[in-house]
Amino acid sequence: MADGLQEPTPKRWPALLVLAGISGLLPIPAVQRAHELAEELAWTLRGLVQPAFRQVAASAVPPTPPSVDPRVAELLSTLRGRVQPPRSRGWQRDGRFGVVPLASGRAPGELLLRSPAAIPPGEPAFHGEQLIGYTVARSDGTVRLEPLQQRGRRQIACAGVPGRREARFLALGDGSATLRVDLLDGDVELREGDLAWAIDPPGPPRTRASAIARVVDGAWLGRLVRGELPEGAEREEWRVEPLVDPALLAEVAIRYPPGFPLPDSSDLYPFRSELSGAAVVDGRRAFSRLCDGREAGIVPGSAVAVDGYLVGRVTRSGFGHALVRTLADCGFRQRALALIDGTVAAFELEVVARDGGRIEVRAPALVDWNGALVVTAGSADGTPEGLLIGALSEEEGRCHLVATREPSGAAVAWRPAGSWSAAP
Amino acid sequence: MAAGRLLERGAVSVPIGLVLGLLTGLLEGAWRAHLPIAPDLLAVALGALFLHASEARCGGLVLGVLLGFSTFSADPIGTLLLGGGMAALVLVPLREVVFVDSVLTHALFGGLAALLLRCGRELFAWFDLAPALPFSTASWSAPLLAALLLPILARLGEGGWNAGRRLAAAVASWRSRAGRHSA
Repeated sequence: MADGLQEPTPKRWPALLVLAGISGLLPIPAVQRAHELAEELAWTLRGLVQPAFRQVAASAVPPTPPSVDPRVAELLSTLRGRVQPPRSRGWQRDGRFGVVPLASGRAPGELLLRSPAAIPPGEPAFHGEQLIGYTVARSDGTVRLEPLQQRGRRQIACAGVPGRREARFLALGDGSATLRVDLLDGDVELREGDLAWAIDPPGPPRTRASAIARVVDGAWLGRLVRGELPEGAEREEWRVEPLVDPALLAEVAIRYPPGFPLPDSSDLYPFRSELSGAAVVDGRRAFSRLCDGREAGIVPGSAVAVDGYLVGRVTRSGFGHALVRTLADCGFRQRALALIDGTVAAFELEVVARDGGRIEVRAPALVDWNGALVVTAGSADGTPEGLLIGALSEEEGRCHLVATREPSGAAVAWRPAGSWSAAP
Repeated sequence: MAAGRLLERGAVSVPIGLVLGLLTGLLEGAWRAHLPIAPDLLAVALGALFLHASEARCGGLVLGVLLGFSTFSADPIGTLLLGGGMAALVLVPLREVVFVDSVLTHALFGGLAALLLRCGRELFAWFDLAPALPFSTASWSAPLLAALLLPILARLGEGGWNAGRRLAAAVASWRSRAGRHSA
């Protein structure tokens, strides 16, 4: 009776619910973690109400999970060999070269490096014999790759025919795609298409011990092209056009001084499991359930493969089962490598639309991508390098991903190292 | 004391809501597996709660339903919390000014709950935290079916409730008559 006589209290819970929802929009790690925790707790509870069923016969599951396709691994290894400069040029001095992948986000004036290991600052970065730039330490503690085209960067260079007709100059970066030729030395004639190469600044006289102590001496910068000047200009403007477009590079080779640990490949452990049917109610989305979860070391970000083909990535992992976002889901993004005509180019694979079994993806910024084989780029958080994704095919002017695998049946999940994987 | 009471209510209503949310998701999943279009059953459940649940435990129940149903959703949990919160913010005060037994009110609650849930999702998509899905004619089927289903379920529930009460009264009178005969 007493409750009935009370004034009705203002209802605060709707506002609290809205606030809880809005907090999910905030880029605060602690709040994001709290949301993820709530998702995973509820997801675990669903596993108790609706257990993940194992529909694959034990005989269909291989006893040892297959690794990356050896043919793809060999192809990538061959292509990686082209990234490393030849040792005979001496640029490694007494150190070694480490191949470091580049992030897909190309900020103007700098290239972001994706390496879980430390990167030495102030070292040259090459792609084959082409000098790309130098590593630079930022105030936030990160090390970025500053390309030669960065405004204000200078490089002593030479152009012409090596040994016969050489003109020294200063290659200046001005933020454009080409380098400006400045302070041309002597009266040597320059010709369009001449090769330009870097030379080391003059230093102390070389001794026998430092005979091969080159830094970048002889590394290619590009070819000379005529710059655009206003009509009627009397002088000539020369520019150096790089042989390799930094925007399309997947990896660069960075010199690691002696004692500096090389970037090793990340430790990922395959785990065999099963995928079992649709997992969400929205028919426009494409998700699946994996019959193992955190108890097996599977965490969000783990790649899931069927027959060596990437079929999705774990987005939510609870106890006993995990939610897998499959390749066919709109908006699915995956850092990938496109292999075509003996070259490799990195790009961000993004699924744009799905029409039945056809997956339309955003076309990569390659000149010719039709027929390119697409494989995963490595990531420390659960994606091994070289998992097949499919092939790119041009249909009606659109880029389609073909020859993919269905996300069902026996699957392999790739787990990053955890406490469970530590050596006893 | 108030906090203790709140906690006590939450300890009961949130788990009940969780189970309700999970059952709602299971039901919608089964529906979609057999039929090409389906109503937004979460909106139906929320509309029914806003119409009929007692004020004291409604918040806990709604939170539980949203958490439970989020396991059947591909979007971040924040989309459902925001959409459900917006629906509650609009519909709970609306209950004070409309005739809650009207069929139109039931349809309005079901349809509005579905639309506001979708608004929450679109807000996350706008911030690139959920993929933007294309709108089509079929996209409107879920809110419309939710608006259609809630009055039907309300009538069925009311009818079932009344039938149950009549049955209970009949059983009680039969027992009393049987007791008198035996005496």
